[in-house]
Amino acid sequence: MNQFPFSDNDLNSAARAAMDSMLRSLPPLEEMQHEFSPAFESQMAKVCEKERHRSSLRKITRRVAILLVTCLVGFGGWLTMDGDARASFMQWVREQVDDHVEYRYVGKAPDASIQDYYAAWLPDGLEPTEFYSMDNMGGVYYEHPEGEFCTLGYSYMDEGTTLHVFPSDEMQHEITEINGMPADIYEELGEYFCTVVWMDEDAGITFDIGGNIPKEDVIHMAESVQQGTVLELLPEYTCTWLPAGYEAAGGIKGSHKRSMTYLGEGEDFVSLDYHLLDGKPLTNFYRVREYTGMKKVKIGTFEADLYFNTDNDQTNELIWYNHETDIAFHLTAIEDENTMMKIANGMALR
Amino acid sequence: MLAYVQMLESQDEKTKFEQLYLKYRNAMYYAADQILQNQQDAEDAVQQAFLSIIKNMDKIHGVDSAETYGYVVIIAERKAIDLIRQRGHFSAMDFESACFGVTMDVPGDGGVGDAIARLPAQYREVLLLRHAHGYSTKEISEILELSYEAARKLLYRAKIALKNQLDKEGAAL
Repeated sequence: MNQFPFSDNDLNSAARAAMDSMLRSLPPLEEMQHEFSPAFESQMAKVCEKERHRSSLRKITRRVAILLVTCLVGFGGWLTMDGDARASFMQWVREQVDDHVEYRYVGKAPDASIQDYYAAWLPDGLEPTEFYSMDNMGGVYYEHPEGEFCTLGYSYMDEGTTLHVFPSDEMQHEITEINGMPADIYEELGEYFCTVVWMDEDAGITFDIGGNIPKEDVIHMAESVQQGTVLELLPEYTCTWLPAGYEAAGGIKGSHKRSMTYLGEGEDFVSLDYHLLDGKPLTNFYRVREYTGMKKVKIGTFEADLYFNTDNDQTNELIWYNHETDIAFHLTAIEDENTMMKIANGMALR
Repeated sequence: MLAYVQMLESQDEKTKFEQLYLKYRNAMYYAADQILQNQQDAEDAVQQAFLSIIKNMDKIHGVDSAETYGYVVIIAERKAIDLIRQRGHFSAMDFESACFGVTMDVPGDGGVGDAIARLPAQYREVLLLRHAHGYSTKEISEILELSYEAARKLLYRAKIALKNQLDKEGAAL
């Protein structure tokens, strides 16, 4: 019996009315103007900068996740009939959630980094063009000169992570097996587009392959997936010198990009990332938005742009291009010019 | 319709946090200053509020919604009240039960909505987070930096306070 003279529904509508009233009691947003102190602005600029870096890392993570798992696939009647599939040991669960299908997992991923995988068989003309790997996931992007493309993704089944499949209208779903492992095939009818998701329950890894290629080719690729690295990784650079107190805090390795973040005390951080330009302009990758000034400096024999802020609490950024390796480097830190230069000049191949 | 999501995002895109910061910092200051009546303290509260918002960015779904506006005002109010409590020598319970936070009108329903609006800030906040925003007890514990048990008790006490407020007002449901 409810001990209160109101139901949750009463509370929901009353709380929304109270919140609206609270907001209406404030002046219009444009009329609430306050000139914040320089100390506040400086602290918040630092917070924003740090969040920008976190956000970049999340975007890269999401990018990998998208590369691995996200595709827009058809939405068949099967979903309403079979909206909930559970593996025999509850290692993973497939559910329809609103307008998409979610695969969720039970249990934690192993501590060891995931191995790299690739498809040993490819349809004629399809070539691997990019590869990424992080601690618990990785992916390979394949392209055909005439526009076909395909992704292979793999990730640890890790509680708290989900794999999403976003359906469109005309999809046929089929429950099957890939090399004896439980699998779902999502095939677009009337055109070539197919995704297969399969679970290696022994290894605790979810795989998926999807692209605008025929179902038979997707299945053939899936059956050929094996451990190994399909593309050469960018060489690994490391900071041989950092101010005291910094520790490596993770990064991404890949065929076209690598990154590494080092965290110091408090808000301090050093972020290093570098891209293989591969014919693309440098501005596709790096654009500095907020800085007091820019000066030309030298990192080794290479010209570099140092974007600096006179406020000691804001980040400085150093960008340079090594034309011998076709790699552009980007170093960001809340450190002064001399320290930035020392970090950059201390970078070396591992 | 089939398409892979384009992977590269604009370098110029502001983070959600920056958008929140630019849009609501003045309103958050206004709310905090109503309580603290001191520029330095109000700015400190706003800064603390943004640090709290960062930790819970996954709970904010859109920058421009009324829910988000309400959320950031609640957080600014909470941080302002926390600041007073931390700097004073108050019994937390006595102080919180006498602190009504931002100045607000009642919705005028003559019932539960008005009673919520007249509650001490800590009870109003937790009821709004739960029933206007739909956050779970666990999410509220994360937002208010409380243990799960403390958040559960706070929600319960808020309902008791609301019942008492309704009794006091003789409000009809």
